Amino acid sequence: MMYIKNFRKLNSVLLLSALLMFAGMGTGQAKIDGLEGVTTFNFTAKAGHITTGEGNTVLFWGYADDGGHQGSLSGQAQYPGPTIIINAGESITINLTNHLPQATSMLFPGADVVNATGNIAGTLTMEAAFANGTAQYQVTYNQPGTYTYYSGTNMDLQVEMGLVGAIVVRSGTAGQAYDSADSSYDYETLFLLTDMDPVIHDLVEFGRFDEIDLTKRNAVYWFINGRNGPDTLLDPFVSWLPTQPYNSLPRIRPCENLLLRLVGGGLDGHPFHTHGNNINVIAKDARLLSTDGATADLAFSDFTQSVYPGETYDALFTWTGANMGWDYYGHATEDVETMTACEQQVEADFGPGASSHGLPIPVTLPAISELTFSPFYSGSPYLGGGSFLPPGEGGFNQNGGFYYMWHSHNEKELTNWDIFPGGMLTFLIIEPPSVTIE
Amino acid sequence: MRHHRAFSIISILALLFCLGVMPAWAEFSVQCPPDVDGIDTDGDGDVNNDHVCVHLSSGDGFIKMADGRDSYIFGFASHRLANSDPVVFQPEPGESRPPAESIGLPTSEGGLNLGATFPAPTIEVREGQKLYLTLSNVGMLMRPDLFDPHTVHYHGFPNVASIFDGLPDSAISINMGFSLTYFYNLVEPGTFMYHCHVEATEHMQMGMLGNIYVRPMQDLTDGTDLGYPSYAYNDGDGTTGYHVAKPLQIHSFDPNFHDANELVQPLPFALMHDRYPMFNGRGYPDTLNPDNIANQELYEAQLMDSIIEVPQGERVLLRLSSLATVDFYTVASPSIPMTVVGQGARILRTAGETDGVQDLFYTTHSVTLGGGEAKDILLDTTDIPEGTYFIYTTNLNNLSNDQEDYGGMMTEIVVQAAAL
Amino acid sequence: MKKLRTLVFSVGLVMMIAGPALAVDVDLVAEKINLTMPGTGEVIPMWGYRLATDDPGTATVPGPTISLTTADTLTINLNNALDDLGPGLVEPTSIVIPGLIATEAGAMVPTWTDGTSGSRGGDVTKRVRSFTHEALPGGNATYVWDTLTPGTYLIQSGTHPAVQVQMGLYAMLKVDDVGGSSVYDTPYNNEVDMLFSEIDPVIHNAVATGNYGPGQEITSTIDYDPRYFLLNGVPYYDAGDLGVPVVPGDNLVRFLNAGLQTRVPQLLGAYMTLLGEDGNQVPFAKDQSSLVLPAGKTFDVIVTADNLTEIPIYDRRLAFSPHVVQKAVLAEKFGVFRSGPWFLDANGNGAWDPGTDAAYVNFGQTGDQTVAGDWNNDSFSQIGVFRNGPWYLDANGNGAWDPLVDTVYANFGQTGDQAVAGDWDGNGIDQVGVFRNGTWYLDANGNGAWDPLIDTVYANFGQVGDIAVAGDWDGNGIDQVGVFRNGTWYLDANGNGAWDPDTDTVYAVFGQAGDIPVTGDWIGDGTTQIGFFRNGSWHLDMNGNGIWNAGIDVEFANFGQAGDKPVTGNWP
Repeated sequence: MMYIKNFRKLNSVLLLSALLMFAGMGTGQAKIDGLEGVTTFNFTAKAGHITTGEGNTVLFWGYADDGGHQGSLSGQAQYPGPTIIINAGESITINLTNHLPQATSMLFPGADVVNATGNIAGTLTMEAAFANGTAQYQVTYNQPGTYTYYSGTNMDLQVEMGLVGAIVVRSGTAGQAYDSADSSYDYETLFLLTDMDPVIHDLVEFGRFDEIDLTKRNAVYWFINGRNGPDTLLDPFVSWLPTQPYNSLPRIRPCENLLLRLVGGGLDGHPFHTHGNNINVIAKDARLLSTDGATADLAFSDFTQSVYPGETYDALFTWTGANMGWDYYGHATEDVETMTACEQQVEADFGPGASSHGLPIPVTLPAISELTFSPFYSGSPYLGGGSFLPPGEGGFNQNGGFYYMWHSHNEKELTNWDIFPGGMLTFLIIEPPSVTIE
Repeated sequence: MRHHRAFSIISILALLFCLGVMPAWAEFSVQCPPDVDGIDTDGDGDVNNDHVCVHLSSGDGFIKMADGRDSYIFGFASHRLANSDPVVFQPEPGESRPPAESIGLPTSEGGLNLGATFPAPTIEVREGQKLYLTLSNVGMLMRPDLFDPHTVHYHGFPNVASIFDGLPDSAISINMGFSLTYFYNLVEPGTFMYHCHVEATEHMQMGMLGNIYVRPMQDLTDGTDLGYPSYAYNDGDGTTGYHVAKPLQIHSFDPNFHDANELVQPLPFALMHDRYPMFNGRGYPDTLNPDNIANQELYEAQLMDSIIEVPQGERVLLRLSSLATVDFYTVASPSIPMTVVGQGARILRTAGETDGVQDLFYTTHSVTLGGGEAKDILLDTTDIPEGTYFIYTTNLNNLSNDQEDYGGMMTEIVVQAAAL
Repeated sequence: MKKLRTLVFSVGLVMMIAGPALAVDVDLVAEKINLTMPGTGEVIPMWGYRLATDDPGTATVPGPTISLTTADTLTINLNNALDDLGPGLVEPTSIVIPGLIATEAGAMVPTWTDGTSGSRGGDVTKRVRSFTHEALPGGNATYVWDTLTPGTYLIQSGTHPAVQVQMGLYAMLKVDDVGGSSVYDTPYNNEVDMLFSEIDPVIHNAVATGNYGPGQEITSTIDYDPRYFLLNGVPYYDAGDLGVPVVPGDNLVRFLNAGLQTRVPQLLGAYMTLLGEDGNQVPFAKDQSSLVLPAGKTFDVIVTADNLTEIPIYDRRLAFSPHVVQKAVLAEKFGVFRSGPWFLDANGNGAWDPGTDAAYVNFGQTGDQTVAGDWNNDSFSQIGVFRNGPWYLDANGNGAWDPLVDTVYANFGQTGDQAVAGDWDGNGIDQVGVFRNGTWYLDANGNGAWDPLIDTVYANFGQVGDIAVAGDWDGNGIDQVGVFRNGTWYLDANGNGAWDPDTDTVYAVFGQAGDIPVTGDWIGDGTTQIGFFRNGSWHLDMNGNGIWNAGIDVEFANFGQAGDKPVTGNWP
């Protein structure tokens, strides 16, 4: 069942440049888009089309929020399903209407209470019959954390088709993922990882169901929040991705804490690598890694966290620039007045000199004619810096931030159906302290 | 089994000179300044020896797979006067750019030599050292149509600046014919890895992958005897102590991809299907061969074995990492228990801190690694009788060298008579 | 939810719990066995283990489970009955238990492919064939473990594992604390075994037919591509049995993966607490709802769910065994009668699938009217015909006329009557009836004979020229009558057998003159919806509003042909 659509290899820089030129890449953010402040949802499961990173169009099945709430696409099936953001202890009610050609349902692993009603008693839950059938799920989450929901009917097909989403359950303390100070964060982001075999989707679109053999599935698309790279970098809710509202381009400043909520939503595992620094994994499946429930004493550090289907992880990321051995702001040696708050914190945490304040960069960089540049290169090795680059180079790094790729390290997954680059990749941006972050 | 190359090396070289592929302005240089700061950062008592240097070239070459097939690769080589010279070297006194003859700088002709090795040279450095790593892009002899830049991504380096991250998509990469020197202040011990990040799916599948690890300061005699000659981390209590270390990196190749690249065919990304599972660039039983393995040009391109020999009762530190580009692999040691003491180049304690309140070490018989994952594993042979034991993937179909059975991702650990 | 039927797989369970310390001897035979895959019916050549005391040919996959305590010692005497594998294939075999160290003389001394054993010396070309000493074909070998540590282990072949393990040579070993019902000093109230594995039929068939090996069609397992995903040896998928019975208190779930790929068991409605991994106690108890279970791995977990009797557990990678992917699964299905032969859409996908759907060669004849109903109370529908008075009902459901077995009613109705069937009394069994120009005669007592004061007469519902239908319009479990008149439907919604304009149902347009009305519970909601059959094309009112709604209601364009007589029911 493996197809090759075409063979092409595009220069990554060229592709990114071309795409972003049109896109007008946004400012980036560090918040989670989703349905917040609502606890009753009218969802319809129905078909739609997504646009993949290299410009293909693929049929998918998704959940549409019919409520017109901010944080979703009103009435439009979306990939992934709407992110639901609630508080611990709250109950939600989802009224599900089925516009798919087969019965469907929703599962809520990790929930404390699920009361389901529907047309049909399915294997795992009550289902909405096809042709306008309905089901209702009343779901309660008593414990904060990151959860996922997905279809519980013909799961191998329906999850592949796109019926999957994330649920964020907030703790009672603002700025803490859990009821623990070890889960404190300044900003948060959600990465729901999925994979897709478009051949299955094509067979569904053409009604050739009897030709579908899911044991021969071969994913060739990989997504973060329903988008392939480089579309992951675009603003949320851009008009030209009408069924893929969510982006993934978190930004923080030095020494700030980012909470990364990772969700395995597809059918394959993905080793997710964070350039820039290790992450500190504090929770799995919405349970703090803790012996006492109060401190994250079982948290661990890693530079690549594998996320398998059904798993969720919460991890903290920070970037201090400590002990770099040179001053990443390019401060002059005698310029002690300009020590930033983060540099001061590093000096306090790691000892005098740990900020490397005022130390020059220890090597001479090659001449610009000897280098190939990223569009995200400011022209300067220094944070907040910038310099002249040859015409056509750089230009997408407005603030002189440091860009770090966050991506699947099974590098095959950095492609969009045979075309490199793309797939499961995005960036984290370390912005200069002066930059305002939403 | 494999296709014969259409041109001899000589004719290609001649062709290249005619075309002027290697730019006439090629200018390789190595930055390896002496340590003059008067501070002893690596803790060995010598204030003048903290700088260490590595010079890698990036190019192409061939290796011999365990079933005899010749495989075209992209790769790094340690660019020294001789392959036997240490990968990591000290600067010459007083010279920030050492003379070419002292460190084996490639000339424009010398660069085009199909000199890539697989895996890339293993870089062993120590906490507290300052590493000046120079990459000279010597170009790809078999692919004169390519002008790919290259990078070194020091995978897992903490708090890296984007300029030295080796990520072409965020900063810079070095063009053919030139050198770029990366600087790393080595403050975190642990098992890392490195690879080229340019067109990562292609360059990594093609073989630009290697081991790098940083030994902790605790290895130096500091008056505290914690019972072992060496340690994985600054554990403070000897719990990561070991006698024998072995870096073991998971690799895997798709022969169709390598052939397509050699023959200048479209690259099958979507169909990428690895059929040569390896440790340290070799399939079994080549993993057991202590000698270098020469390729079809009689050039020794595979310099690394995976054999582990340990006196009974001693501990092995397995520095296990994966730079496979397609699949996860589960690696088992069914007889000798594996105690995982580190991952992601951090000690396996609370939040990866040496002073973490909980020791999170755990004992198992297999670990699973996706690309870009690393684990530090102790194998304690205290209760293990002398003999030959096996470390292999439990994804058992990968005990194959492509279509050859009894091969693949497997190596042996020989428990010898106890040391006297 | 159904019970996990696969829990009873352990045919040759060896159980030695709770006694004094025992030296347990288990005599195992490795032999060939053919297993038929439920669902597809495909026969897969496997290799499996059986107890030597069991009959030859009874090997199972997985092999017999061995349950011991740490006080015991284990000896396995292995007989290699893989001695008739066919041309060119000679397979010694052996047993290893990853995580436990065997202690007999020669234990874990490798055997190389050249037949030698011991250290490889300086020979860098030797390849390992067995991780330990072997039982040659037809021969025997003995393996001893005199120190058992608590946990769950895979017993598997230590020889040519790339082939032998996937062929089926694996089994489960449980080692409990002394006294049993406790592991790692953690007592449990109930235990559940979940052993995952896989089958690639291509490799199995190549091995079985002598097409595997050097110079053969398949020379290595590198292109392994499994098609069947097994739980405790049985293929499973998400329409099957995923409920694991649990009891109040601590349920020990033992996860094992004898397959070659990673699975991710997912709990629904509960969390698990990790206890042990590969026979090693984990240092800290962690709660999680999903568990990454790589190839060759075992985990012991505790599940506590005092308010539940069963918990669904499924592989969240959703690697399920082959099953028909249906566009739409009709809860009540249809079929046609073609003057003798019948064609029934058994899988409910609205399409004719030869081999899957049911074809009956001959039941009835030209001119018969068709009915379908549950004549025998097995919750499925059987067919039947009405022949101007006599009825012939396929009571045993085999689609053939069996004179002394099937049901014949000699005389209920007459020439010109329209045959109907329905559950007139709500007892779950369908009865017959006829419609005669506006009058209905229903066999309410189900004896197939007309009993004037007992059976039901509706004197006036419909008229000459109407087509009679029946169905449970209101979902009360009792079928009511109705008529179809040139596209308009009149349904006796209140079930009194009389037309009540205010309370009964009329659908003005659903079909047209010439269409044949059909009824059924297409979506499985317990009520009957309407539809019609037009020359091989079925139009079904999925949402039950009596109006054709494009995009919601469904047309199955190609099941049967003009002249066929439609029939609906719940075919097995």
